[in-house]
Amino acid sequence: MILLVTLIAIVMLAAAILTVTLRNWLAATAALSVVSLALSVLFALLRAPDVALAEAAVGAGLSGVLLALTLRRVGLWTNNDGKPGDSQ
Amino acid sequence: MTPALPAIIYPVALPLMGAFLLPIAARSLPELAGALGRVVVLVSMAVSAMLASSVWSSGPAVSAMGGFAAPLGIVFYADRLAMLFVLALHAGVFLFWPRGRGENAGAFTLMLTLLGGGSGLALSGDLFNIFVFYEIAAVASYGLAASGGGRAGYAAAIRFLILGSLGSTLALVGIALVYGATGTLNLADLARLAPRMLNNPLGLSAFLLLLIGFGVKAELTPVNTWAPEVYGAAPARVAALLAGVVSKLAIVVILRFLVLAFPMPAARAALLVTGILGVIAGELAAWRAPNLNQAFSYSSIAQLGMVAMAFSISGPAGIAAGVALALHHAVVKPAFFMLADRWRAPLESLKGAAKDSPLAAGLFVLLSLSIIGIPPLPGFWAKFLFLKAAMASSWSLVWFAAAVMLAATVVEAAWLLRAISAFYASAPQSAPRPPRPGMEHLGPALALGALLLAAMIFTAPLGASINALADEAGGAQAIAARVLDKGE
Amino acid sequence: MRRHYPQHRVIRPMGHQGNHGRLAASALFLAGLGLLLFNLVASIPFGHAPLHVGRAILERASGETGADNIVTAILLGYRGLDTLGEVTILFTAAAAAGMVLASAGRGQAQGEDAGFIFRTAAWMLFPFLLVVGAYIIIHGHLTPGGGFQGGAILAAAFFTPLLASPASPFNHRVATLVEGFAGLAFIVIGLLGMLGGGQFLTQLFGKGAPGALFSAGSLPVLYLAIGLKVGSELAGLMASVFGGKEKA
Repeated sequence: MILLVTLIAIVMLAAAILTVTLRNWLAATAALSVVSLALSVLFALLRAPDVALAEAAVGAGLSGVLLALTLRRVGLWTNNDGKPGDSQ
Repeated sequence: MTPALPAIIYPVALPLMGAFLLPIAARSLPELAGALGRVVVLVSMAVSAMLASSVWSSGPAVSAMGGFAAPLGIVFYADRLAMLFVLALHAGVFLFWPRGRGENAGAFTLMLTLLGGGSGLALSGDLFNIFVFYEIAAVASYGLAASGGGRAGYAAAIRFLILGSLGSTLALVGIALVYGATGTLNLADLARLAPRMLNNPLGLSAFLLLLIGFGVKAELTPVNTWAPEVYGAAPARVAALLAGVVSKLAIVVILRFLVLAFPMPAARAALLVTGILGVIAGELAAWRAPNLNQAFSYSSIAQLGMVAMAFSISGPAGIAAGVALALHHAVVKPAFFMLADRWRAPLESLKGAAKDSPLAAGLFVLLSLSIIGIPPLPGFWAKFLFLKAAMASSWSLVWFAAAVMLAATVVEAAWLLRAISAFYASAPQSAPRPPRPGMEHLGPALALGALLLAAMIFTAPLGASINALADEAGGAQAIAARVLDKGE
Repeated sequence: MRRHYPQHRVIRPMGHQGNHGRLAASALFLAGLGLLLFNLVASIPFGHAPLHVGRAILERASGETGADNIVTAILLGYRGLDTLGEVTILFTAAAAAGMVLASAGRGQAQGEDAGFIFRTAAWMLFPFLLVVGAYIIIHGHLTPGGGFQGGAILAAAFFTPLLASPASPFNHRVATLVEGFAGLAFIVIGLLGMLGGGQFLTQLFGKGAPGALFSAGSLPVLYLAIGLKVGSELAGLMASVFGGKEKA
């Protein structure tokens, strides 16, 4: 249990740092979703299933989708580090 | 015995019902959307006025939501202070209702949620519930700040949003600290527990975090950088509403926290210092501002600093002074923003404006005299109440605050007189004539000017009821007894 | 009315353009804030929180509200007004975003079709997501979950097919209708509670047998309203950001 929690904490921290440092906006959004997903697993382990469900549905799912859609709309949806490309 | 008055939910429930229905109405009857919103505001205002008169005649009322009694459930607590600001918010929303029809339905919806959220902010007696209503009002303000469109408007709104969200996060941490330390969120319950459990560094940190969070809306000094930009870029009506009424609601909530949950000298000192910094920074920036709109944005920071200084003086005298200053500013500043909407050009190009629009210039002079504090006008009495309360206090920092306020008054008088002398100067023949405020600006400004004159005539009864209001709002243990000891 | 849409510009994450001073200042500020918060939280004894209100609620919740799930008893019973407020925050945010998006003009092309495999998978997923979402909402008072979580899943159910074939229209009119009337229903249920001498949000109907589907009075109805409102709001918001075609 403690090992699992430590592992999740490390994943969360790493993903959080990646969110800030990654130069590609889309990748940063994905890293942000990973933070939420790991957090929801942590909530489930801590026996807070209600919060885990909310975090998984809203934090990991919807907010990531919304961020990605916004990136697409303002033309920052790119697969490389450089110039903005076309969508997809 | 405090009467249970379930009806005090209406100032929140009616606007929210209107807000939920308005997008539907706007889709099928775009012509009527604006009128429908105004009707909702009027109905809610009438109900609030009835509630206020009942509170005024028979004392504060309590409602425990869902029938769950005080510390377990959420309570609404309606006293004179709360009802006064609920009514002021209704009046402000009605007066500064956005123009246009169905195409502006988004702004109408946001105005109604702002009304519901702001009323809840004033009425709620629960720390977390207050935060929820604050968020409603905050999100609605972010949207309204962007409602004018344009690059500047969007940029201002997004910066406002980022600062506001950061503040809200810190406020939430503060609330968590309070709950972690005491195990309750009810303000009345906290009033009993605070002297024992929150009178420590943890409690002070919680207060500071709440001060940062709610200070964003109350334009307190380190977190008010959004104000000049938003007031410059948003429609004048939105600026008038945010600076006039919504900021006052936030600072009234801070007063409630201070009185009920954080009755310690260090918390008062923190509020006083932010107030002093706000007055100094605001007036100096107003003096250097490039145009009238910016000058009024900065001066609104200074005026809210004065309210904060007054609220930090312990006892009813400080509360009375703060409420008087807040009310006076809530009448004067929106009128200024309306007048200045067309006069955004630098002062030199406004020469001779008084000749083209004598009524607007005359009103400007009247408002200026009141905000400077020339005797028969209400602004004088508000400042006088503050000085009296400051002198009666035994706290030397408050005396310094009083000195700062007097110095700020001189600076304020200087830049207002500079503007007035530009209006009444004779314009050079070749210069283009300055724009004139239209009826859509002059109407609300004249209404507020009339209100100011009425307040001047009824100074004595007004002062008496503000004192009664302050006595009622300042008694933390009496409030706790009213909310918690019901029916025992 | 003249409106300008902010021009597209490439913004890079902070620090990329070499503003190291600002980065260092931010890092220092965050470290200080972190240290402060850590110290504050450490001063609260861990595991011995004063359960002043908490314990009383734990003891009474299922008896007083009839809800098996204590989280729901708190969310809709003791703190029902907070929940109404939270729904309203979401509504306000969606309204503000919708306003800005509408004035900025609809997004032009929605992008090409995602292809046969994704499209078929999305449509096959649709009924399952619908059932899961509905289950989570309807059983909110019995098992973990409720209106917010289920609503988010419902929104995903409606949005996934749109993502797969962007050309298919999204019915904003129906979404607005559901959203508005679901919100109205929450408040009306609250106001009905005041009829019999109660207060706002006093529970209606009987509490029923704990654990039964029809129990906990009006709480499941409130959750249904929240689920529909959250679902339609989020789906509508995603569809407007996506810039899909509007069905007249």
